[in-house]
Amino acid sequence: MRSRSMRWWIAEVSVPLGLVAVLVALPFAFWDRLPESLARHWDLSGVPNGWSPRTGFVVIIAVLGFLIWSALISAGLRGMASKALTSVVYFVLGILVGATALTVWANVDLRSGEVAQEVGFLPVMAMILGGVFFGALGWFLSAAESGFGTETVGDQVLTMQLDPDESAVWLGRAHSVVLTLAAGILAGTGVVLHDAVGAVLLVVGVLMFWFSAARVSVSATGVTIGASPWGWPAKHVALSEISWAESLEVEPLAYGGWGLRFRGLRENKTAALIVRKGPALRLVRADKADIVVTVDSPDGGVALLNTLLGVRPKAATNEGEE
Amino acid sequence: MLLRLNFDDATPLYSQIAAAINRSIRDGEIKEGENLPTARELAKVLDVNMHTVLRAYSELADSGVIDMRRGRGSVVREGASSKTSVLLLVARLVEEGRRQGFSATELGALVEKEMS
Repeated sequence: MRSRSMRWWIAEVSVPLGLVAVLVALPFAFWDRLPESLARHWDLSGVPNGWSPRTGFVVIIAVLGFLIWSALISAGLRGMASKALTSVVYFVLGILVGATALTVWANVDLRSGEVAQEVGFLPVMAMILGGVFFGALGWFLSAAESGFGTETVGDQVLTMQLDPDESAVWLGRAHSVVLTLAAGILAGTGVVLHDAVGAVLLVVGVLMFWFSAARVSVSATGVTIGASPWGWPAKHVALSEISWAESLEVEPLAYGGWGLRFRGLRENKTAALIVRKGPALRLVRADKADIVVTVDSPDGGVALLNTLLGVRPKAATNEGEE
Repeated sequence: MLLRLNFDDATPLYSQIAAAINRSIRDGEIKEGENLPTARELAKVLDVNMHTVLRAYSELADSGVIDMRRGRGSVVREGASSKTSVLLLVARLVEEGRRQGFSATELGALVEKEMS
């Protein structure tokens, strides 16, 4: 195994494990002052409505915190580290620490959790802000690729030979393991929390999973682009709308992040489906916004499209318009 | 992955699809161990019935080119690229040979003569 930098040990091991330790230490610090039965859940108006045994509560948060950190570290060890994943893990751990602190505060010095403090709007906001703070901290600490940068476009127009009696189709896909993992962490935490914050995490997790994969197909009728492993929802772009196609390397943050992205207001308008950094396909359209979609080995699709469109190999450089 | 199809009316559609996939594996368009698109996906882009694609896939599975596993999709088998080209040619030779009235022994003799 490669030797790891000091920064890696801090960002991926020390700080997140520290957060897990704080998570577990919080209830232990007040162990004798906490009731046997803890209020651990509050309804939307802030009145407690869910209780757990003291020990069970600690076990659950310890296991949850440790699982979340394991996901981060296993991604890192497989070479799939990213600022985004570190940031998401920090965010979730931050939320958990906040939630645990709130729980301890609401229960401390009580005989029974049934008369626990009401938890209002402000502490919950503080908890979420705390999560955002830690998310940002994770982003800055992580030494992984940021995803900022410029995109590179190949300088030749790709085409291919197609015999007169031959037809061709092309199918491509892209998939992000990191996004899938991050989505799993968010959704899983959402399910465990089982409250309003959890519901938000669950929705974000599902959305993230939906945009962790892309499907592209090219045929004589045009291009179909779909999100999710099932290629739904999909958008069909008729061949007649497309001027030419090219392959490029994209950086997610050049598009403002992952998912469905729109860039440029008047000029160079682009709609993009971004699931990861790396190879992508661009459809240049005369009257409408260009379309960019991340897809593995896009050259075959580009060549087929340009051939179907009758783009000549040398019409390359600036205009590209036939 | 790129699929090239030769539309001629003589060959059933599913054989043409299977042949196109074989060709793509041979050309390195589809790598060994790679997942083929789902039958539904491919049927949609080819504008054919899903069962036609499924039949093509099961033909490929029968000839040992792909593995069809529930939940894992259709995976191109290791060593498929080296196998398909020959199998495909032999199948064609046999088919054409039959049509022209060659016996198995006669075809075998022709192959031996060609290789010597």
